[in-house]
Amino acid sequence: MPPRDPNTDQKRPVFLDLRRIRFPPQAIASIAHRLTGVLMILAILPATWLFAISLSGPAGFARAGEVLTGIPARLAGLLLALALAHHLFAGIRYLLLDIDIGINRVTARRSALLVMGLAVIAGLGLWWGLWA
Amino acid sequence: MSGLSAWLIQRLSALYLAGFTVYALVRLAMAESFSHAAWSDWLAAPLNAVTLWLAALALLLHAWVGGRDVLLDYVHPLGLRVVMLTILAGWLLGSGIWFGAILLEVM
Repeated sequence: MPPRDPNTDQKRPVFLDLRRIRFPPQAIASIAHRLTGVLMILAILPATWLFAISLSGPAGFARAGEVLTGIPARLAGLLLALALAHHLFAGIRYLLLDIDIGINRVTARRSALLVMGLAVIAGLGLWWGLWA
Repeated sequence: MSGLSAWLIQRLSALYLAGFTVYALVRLAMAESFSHAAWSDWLAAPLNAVTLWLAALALLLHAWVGGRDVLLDYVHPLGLRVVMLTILAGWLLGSGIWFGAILLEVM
């Protein structure tokens, strides 16, 4: 019998029980990198709208300020600050991995945890700095 | 845009955006006055305008390559995939053209 080809074999074993798969920090950082990217893509159009009204004149500039200090913008700002911080730090980690820095499993695990810790601290700090 | 060129664009735009983000946040923290006049004057300065044009371009390319990768990985039915890629392209191009038009006006 020829060996099974894992790409075409329809009877290959598949294990996708999400409750029982264990996600190492590297996997969580990777999924978070995607989620935060998508979140920031969603913010591009609203941000462009804010940019537009802020430059439409002194009244528009004041209006943009009001929108930004409202509760919805504060909440969105918190999410986006955390997203930006994570995406930036995780991105730097990937650029380093690209050039083989921190590529071994133990280091990669530690750097993934470091990225997530730094992201929470820097994200909250950024939000605090911008809105408090 | 796919394969090696997408890979390279994603990393070059990432480097520019990382630098720009840090610069923009530091500059914002150093700002002395917040007014429409100060804001539009700052944007009208040629060096700032060029920096921002490049950031917008890098952001759109980065968002396209990243968003496209996510859609190709998770959205499998062909029709839905085409629709979502079209929405993404429209979302980014629309924002980009709008942003460019405002920036041209300020300059």
